[in-house]
Amino acid sequence: MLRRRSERSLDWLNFFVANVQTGFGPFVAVYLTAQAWTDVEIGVALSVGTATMMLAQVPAGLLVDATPRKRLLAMIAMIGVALSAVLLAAWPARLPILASEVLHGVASCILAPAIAAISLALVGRARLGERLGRNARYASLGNGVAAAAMGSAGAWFSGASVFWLTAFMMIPAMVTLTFIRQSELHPPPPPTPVQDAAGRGEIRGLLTNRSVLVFAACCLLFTLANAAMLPLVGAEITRVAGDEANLVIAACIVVPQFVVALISPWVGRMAQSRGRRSMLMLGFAALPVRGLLLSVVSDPLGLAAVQMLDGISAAVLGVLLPLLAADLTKGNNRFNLCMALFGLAVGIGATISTTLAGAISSWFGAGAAFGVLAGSGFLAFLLVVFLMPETRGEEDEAESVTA
Amino acid sequence: MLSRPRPLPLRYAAACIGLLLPTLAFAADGDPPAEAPPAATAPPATTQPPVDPPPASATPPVAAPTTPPQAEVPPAARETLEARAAFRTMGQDVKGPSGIVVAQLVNILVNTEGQPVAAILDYGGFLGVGKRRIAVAWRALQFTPDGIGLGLSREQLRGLPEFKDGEPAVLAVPPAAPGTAEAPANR
Repeated sequence: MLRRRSERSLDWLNFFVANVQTGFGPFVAVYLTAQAWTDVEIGVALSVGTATMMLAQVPAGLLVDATPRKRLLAMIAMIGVALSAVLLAAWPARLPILASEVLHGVASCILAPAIAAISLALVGRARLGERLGRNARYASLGNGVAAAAMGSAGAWFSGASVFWLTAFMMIPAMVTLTFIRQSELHPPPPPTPVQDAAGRGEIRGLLTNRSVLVFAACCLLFTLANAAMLPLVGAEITRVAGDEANLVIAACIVVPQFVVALISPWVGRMAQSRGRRSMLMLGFAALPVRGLLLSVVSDPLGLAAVQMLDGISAAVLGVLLPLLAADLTKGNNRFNLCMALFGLAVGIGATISTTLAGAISSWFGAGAAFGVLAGSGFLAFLLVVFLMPETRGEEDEAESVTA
Repeated sequence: MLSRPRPLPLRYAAACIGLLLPTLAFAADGDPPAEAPPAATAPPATTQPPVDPPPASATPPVAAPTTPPQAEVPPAARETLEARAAFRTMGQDVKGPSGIVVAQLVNILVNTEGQPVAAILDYGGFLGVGKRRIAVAWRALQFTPDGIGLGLSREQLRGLPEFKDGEPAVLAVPPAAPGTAEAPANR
């Protein structure tokens, strides 16, 4: 029963952490505009945040792998995120905001792998798929609730109130972390001195592992297609919809979160029982289809319905990214490093996505931009179908059948 | 702990260097480049934007030291604005006809006499998703102590093309009063 309590606490930990991270999305640009920052200054601040995230991914992954005290690390990272929110709210001058962006980038890069590592340590490899599905469910619920709460706070109070709320939300997150008992955690064995002396060899080994590279490329292409779709849709809706524009955009954000909350555990179970490839193909196929549909559908309700496909692909990637990282690093202690590599690919894809989509959209229109994004998604799908092997191990299959 | 992994400090160092690089890059490019701001925002701004004071601040400039040694240039005179007589504009919320915040004012376009002709707004969106940059005629805005009001509703602004820097701006203009021929809300 204590194990159940730890698992429940992990659920709510994901919920509250997602709550906190929602405030750091596109809303930061809105907040800084209200502080009379110019476009150039906002661009610099946000680029610093993005660059920090990309630079910090791999060191953070190494860090989380190296330390056995993952809960402590998660706690420190959470304090860092809360601090960056407080800096945003209380002191919107140039240097503190840059410090806030850097701090948030580093802390997020540590927090996400730490939670995944705690999940792996709590349930073991055989049940990891379902556990990650539950993580994704609670995270999307947290995103949805936070979007509603912060949207209201931003509209009724002030922009700064959103970040005070964000910082405040960290308190329940830290409380739930303390409820995860150390005794329940059975992390993979730490590297023996022989293995660890070849630390660099391990990293190189990871980089030359073909499956790791293939999936990193898939993640990059997927995120390249996915990241810019919602902002493009949002801009289109604002352009063509009248008074109900904001509601439609809110629906386009909430519907995928709802779908993720609904199907994530199922995706995790399927990945355990049927294998990873079937789920990967489902999720990666949904993306180009969604891109094409978004370019032809203009009715607001239709757009919100098409966003359900966003939920499917988001659920699949959210569950399978850590799951594949665990599969591909079985036997060594490089789980978080592998996740960091995938996270880096995602970050690069997202950066290219927004720049590319913005450029194409301003020269050729939104329809062309959706087409290019859908093309990238299709490329990712082809990679998955033809180059990505099944990574579920034999003993995992046996364990999950008997579990 | 029996054996600490030795490469750990190296990773810490790598992480720290990774952290410092962006901030060093920022420090290297010195003062923030002020975007070519419309002249309308320079004059009697009694408040400053909350950034490090750029070289051209709100305090009146003293005599330039590089003028040739002729007659002394008198220092600039000063005048004080009543607190409620003038309002900040940049970044301020703009409320629609229904009273809810619909946009943020991000830029002002002026003609050669320094008269504002258009305002650039970041319009719409939810939590930052879906906002568009549009231009509205200056006369569509009302300035009150409670904030800036926009006289055009969302329905009226449908289909307005986005504002792009460097291209001729398409302004949204309040429709002509009923009784005269109905002018379209968007040109």
